[in-house]
Amino acid sequence: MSVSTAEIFNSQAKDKAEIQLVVFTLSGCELALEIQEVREIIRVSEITLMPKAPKYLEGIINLRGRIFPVLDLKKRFEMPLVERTPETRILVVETKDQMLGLLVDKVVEVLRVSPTAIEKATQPVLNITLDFVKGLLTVRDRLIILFNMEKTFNLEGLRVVVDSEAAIPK
Amino acid sequence: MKSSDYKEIFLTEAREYLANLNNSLVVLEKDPGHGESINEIFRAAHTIKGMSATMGYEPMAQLTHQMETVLEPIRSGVKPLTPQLVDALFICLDQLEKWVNILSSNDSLEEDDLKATLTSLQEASEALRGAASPVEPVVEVVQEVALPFTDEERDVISQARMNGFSVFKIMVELERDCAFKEVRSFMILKAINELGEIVKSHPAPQEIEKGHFERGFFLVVVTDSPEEKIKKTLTGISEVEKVQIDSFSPDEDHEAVFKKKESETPKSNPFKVLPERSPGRRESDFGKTETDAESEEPTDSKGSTQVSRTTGSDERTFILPTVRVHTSKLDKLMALVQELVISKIRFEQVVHQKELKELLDPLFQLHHITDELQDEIMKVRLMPVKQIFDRFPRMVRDLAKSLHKQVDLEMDGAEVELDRTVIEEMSEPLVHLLRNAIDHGIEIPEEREKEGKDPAGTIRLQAKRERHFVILSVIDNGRGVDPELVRKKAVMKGLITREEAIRLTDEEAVRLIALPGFSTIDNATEVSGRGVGVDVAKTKVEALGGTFRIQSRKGLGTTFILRFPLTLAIIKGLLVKCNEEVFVIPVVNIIETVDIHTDEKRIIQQQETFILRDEVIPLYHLQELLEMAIPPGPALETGLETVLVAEVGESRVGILVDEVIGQQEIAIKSLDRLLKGIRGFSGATILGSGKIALILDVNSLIEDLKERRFQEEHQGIIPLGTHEGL
Repeated sequence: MSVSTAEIFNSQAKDKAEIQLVVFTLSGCELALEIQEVREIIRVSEITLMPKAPKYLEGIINLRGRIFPVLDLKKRFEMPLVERTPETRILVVETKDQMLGLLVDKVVEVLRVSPTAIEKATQPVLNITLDFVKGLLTVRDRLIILFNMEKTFNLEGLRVVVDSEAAIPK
Repeated sequence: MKSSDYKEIFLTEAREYLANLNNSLVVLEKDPGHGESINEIFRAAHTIKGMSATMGYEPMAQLTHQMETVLEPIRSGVKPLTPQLVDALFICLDQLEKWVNILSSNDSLEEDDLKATLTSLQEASEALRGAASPVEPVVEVVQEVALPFTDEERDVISQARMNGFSVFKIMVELERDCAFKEVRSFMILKAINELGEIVKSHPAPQEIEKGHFERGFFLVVVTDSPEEKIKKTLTGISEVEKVQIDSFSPDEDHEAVFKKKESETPKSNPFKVLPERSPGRRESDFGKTETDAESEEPTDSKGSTQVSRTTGSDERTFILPTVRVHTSKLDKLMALVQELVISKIRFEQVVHQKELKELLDPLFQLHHITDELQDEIMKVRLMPVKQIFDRFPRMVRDLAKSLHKQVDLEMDGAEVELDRTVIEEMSEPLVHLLRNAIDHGIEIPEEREKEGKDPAGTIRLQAKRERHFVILSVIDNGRGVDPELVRKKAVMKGLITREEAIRLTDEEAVRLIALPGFSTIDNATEVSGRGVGVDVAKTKVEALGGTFRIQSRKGLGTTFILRFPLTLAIIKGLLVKCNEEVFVIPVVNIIETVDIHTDEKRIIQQQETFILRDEVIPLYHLQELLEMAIPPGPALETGLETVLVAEVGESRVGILVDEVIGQQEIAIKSLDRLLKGIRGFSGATILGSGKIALILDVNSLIEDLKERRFQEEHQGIIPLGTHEGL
């Protein structure tokens, strides 16, 4: 399912198309997701506490009848915590049958870039481990991390419990 | 239709036929002379052969062809059925099932497996060689069919003629080997409906659509299209062998007479209407049906979800009375109704809060409409439990055989209907319980004879409705559970203490077999006995909001009783508060709520308890169950605390909550997949305020807590051990 950066290079370079990135911030650090990965951006309404969940699972929300988790990645990557402000948003991302909200401090802009501008990361950026970094982008003096959204569907706390559920029937 | 659609139909039908084959074989094994079953098997094999050949699944076609060949002498009564052959047929069936499963994800089959299966079949049929050829059946031919009209139909026809439309009598004949009668006939009817209107048909349109005819059918059609166009359209559909169109003469006022024009006499009458398998559904008042050598099995669409379709404005227009609907659409409808119920509840709350009297009446109406809508959709989602029961005879047979036991499976109430979700979820627990009954319950024949019992044990699987509940029971007449043995085992495994064991009544002791990790058989067998079966079944039933009971008498047998609410989508829930968060506990789980004084709490073996009518009941804080912080300080000034007494399996527990808000009808929404892994929540609901409230699965919350406590106790030991190791 996941489209690797290399594939983007190949397919996009051919027709010289630009890719569009949704740029957002987490504790002042700029990250981006490809626009087609973001189903929608919503304002933060009430987030319901989910007991027994990993700490970075902020809670659950109901979006038009679907109840799904919202993650606070700052907690996951041990970044400095930032209070919620009127600019705080939830990016709703979706894979085949799962939905997930990512709590972000601010959605900065939608950026059009040429795929060739994206470099490969060779070492962890800030606290974000390499497997979450699809690539790096330098726009003037800004460093933007192209975030690997697929990984968030496979985070430790969540993944482990999903596995154990599958193991129950034996 | 795309080819993938055909495949879908093929797979669905093949599965149905295989289920029939399985059941017939089980019957046949017990009663080798059972003619009906032999015919059934023969027909099913024949149909699968035709279907798979058309789809290009060569190995399947070959195997079923061989099955037919081997069965032929048995069907014609020339040779008896041997146990060896039955086994070989079972192997063939398994292979067919395997292929069907492969096909559901792949598009083609490897031929590798065919040879091995064929060999076993060949071997089994060696002994049967030299069978006489089947008797030539008598063929009778009908060349004329008259369809009488009703007054209404006559009106339609004369009206149409007056308005310049033509009336045609159309005979359509499909190819002899047409494997997709259902599909072809659907395409034909659809094509004709695009060109005109079907006034009359033989057999009835719904029968045609199901493929309940031999090779052809008759239609009387009103249309403004020329004969040529119709002919061209119909002959363009594949597997249509012959289309004969005659114009309708006015003297055929009372009936349409169809005459076959061809000179050659057909070997079999293609227009024979096939009998329906389920009795009493259709009575053909015309059409002289006769016997035929190639009796083709009617394609029966049972098992698929069918919904009545509302007819259009013109009731004379022929519209199929049923449509197939994908289950995802039903789920979507159900979800929408749930949303509607939630909105209605919110609406009601506002109206009552603001005392908007003028809205009470329309609100009451809305209430009734949503109720009815909910009921109707619920009904559409019901399926007979037959869907899962059908798998069991074969499973029981295989298992009993492998354990050298004799078991008769009796099934009652297969027609009882249950929500689709419950049916899907119940399949696995029932398998566990049946396995348990065969493995642990039913004794080997010698032992049974010694006890003065019939050497063959009986397992009864029962389904019945009781108001808003469905009760499933698995009853065996085996050795039963020995309470003494259970006590001993439970103490040995450290599940309970010796003192507790002594205090238990026999009935309570029997219930211990449902504890996780319990198994009374010393050697865990391949079948069950790993102590998961009963435990898994119980957990599942309770997660579905049902109750699970065990009754057993030593030497007489064991009964498992599973009781479920009819629907899972909307339930009554108790809203409780815990650290300012609202949670829902299904009312079915709660026996009562009591207020207790703080001094009434006692600590027994590190477990907080209280006494309710002489019964010691363990107490848990909801915070503790949910891994939330317990607020410090004393409870309320009054010193009273609220306890929900809940039934968890066979025992009672008390749950301390901050506050009980009240009881409410709630619509259960499932949690997204990532959340399903977090144990202890069976779903969530949206409250009147628009907030989400999680629905608690008390049983697994308590199990989880016990597990955590156990790990905490042992964690202190493990690191020490590793230190020593260093």
